[in-house]
Amino acid sequence: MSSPRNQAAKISILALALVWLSALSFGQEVERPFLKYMSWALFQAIPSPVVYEDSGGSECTVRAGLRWQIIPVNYSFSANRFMSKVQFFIINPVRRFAGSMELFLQPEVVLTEFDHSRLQRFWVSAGFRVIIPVVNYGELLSGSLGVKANFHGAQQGGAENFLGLEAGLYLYGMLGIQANLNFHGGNRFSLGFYLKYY
Amino acid sequence: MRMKAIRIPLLIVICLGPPACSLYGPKDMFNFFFGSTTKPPIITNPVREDVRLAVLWAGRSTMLIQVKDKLILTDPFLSDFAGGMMRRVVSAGIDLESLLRLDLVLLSHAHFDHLCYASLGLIAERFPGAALVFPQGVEPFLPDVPLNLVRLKTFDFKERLFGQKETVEGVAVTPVYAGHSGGRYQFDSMIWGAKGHCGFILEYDGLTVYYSGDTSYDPKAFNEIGRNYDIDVALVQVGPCRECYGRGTSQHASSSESLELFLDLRADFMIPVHYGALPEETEPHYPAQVLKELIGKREAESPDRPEWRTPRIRPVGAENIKALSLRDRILFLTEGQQVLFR
Repeated sequence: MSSPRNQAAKISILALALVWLSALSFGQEVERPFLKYMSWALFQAIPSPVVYEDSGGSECTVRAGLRWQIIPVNYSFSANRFMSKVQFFIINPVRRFAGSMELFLQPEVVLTEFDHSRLQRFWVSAGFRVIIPVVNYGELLSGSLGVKANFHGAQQGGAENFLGLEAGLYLYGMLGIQANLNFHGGNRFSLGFYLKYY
Repeated sequence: MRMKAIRIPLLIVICLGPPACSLYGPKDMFNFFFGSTTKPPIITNPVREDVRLAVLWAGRSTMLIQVKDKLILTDPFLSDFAGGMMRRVVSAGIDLESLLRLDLVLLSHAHFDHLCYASLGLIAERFPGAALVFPQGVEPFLPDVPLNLVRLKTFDFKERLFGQKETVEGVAVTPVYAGHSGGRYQFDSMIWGAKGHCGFILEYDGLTVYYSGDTSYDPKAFNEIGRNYDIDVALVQVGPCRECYGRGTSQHASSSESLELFLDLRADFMIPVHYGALPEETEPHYPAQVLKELIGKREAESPDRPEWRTPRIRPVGAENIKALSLRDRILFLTEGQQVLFR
């Protein structure tokens, strides 16, 4: 059993390797690698604001929260013959929004406690979505449909995992809205912005 | 606090989505909702049998170049909005329906006012299989359009001004130096330094046409291009520029620099392009107005510019002028207007 520090180091190395793979799949020489990867990482730190339903018993309210958008792998249906169909982490918006499918990972947090549903404030969700281009090869407008699993914890302890459905609309491959329908009585709906650069 | 947390990322995203080569501002947003786009006259039959070369300027950097029997479209931007956000003041002065065929489409780089997906979709629908020619580095920004994608090899322009020449549909196309940036979404262009931009030299039927793409001014580079090619017609970017009488930016030559660029090339004729459609640094047609003024000044100061060779072709209407002045050699078109050379 390795220590948490070793595990963190392994995860970092793996993440760097995947970013490097992504750069290869991006298909361009990386002119300024340090600036590129640092600025990309900073952009990923920008969260997407979300509101979540919080209900329990006869009480129901909404809670503001934040969600980070991580895409470990994307497979494009619209990559031209010069480009790889598969991308890791750094995802070219053209190939993504012109039609693709992907696995996503979303660390999420609510700014105040889920007082009614008694769910924990921090959790991670992961899922699969398909992106469908609508206008201008998806750059001007595209939509997505997906399923996701929410790996929650209950405030009184123990896991409280549940599935959900997701639909999204996106402009310029950077700005969008995402709606979720969850199969959990206390947290059925969430509606949020989608902010992500590459 | 919570509202601020939402506003800041929104602002960043809006600033990241520039539709052209500059940031999107409040003025552009106002124009989007309340501005208007005028329609220029459209030539219904732009393909001519009786000329060696014809250039129709549709606006911005979109030109239909006819060299004998070959039809070439540059940087097709036919939509009324750059990237769906920045409204044009004048629509594109060309109707694709008026063309029965199209041989080549040239893309100089992937910025929104040069690579317009809506236009690419129209071209792919009307002319499936036409050659889409672009420099290395543009391919990440091209969806899988049903066109014949031809990627031209370029080198680091600091070391080699000329990329690899390829013959496409019978036309020899060489990517050449342009001082600009690749990428599409601002940061990939400005910070990441994505490659993928160039100018083009086209050679066909004994004629040579140069298209600058977007470029800053580098006298050494343009003198070198001029030394290597006998250019009949140079299609040169002018602006956007705030200081159009002075120096341009690292991305765009100013009006005065575009004039110098043309003189460095030693081309026979120049057609200024890239101004007019979008309100960027100044009023859209301002760079051309300054250029006209500078031509007048230049002629008054040094009327006999030496080393002009006898042109192989001349614009229709100027066949009998014995000594062409600088004013005769720089041909200003309005959107939708065509110049014919014989």
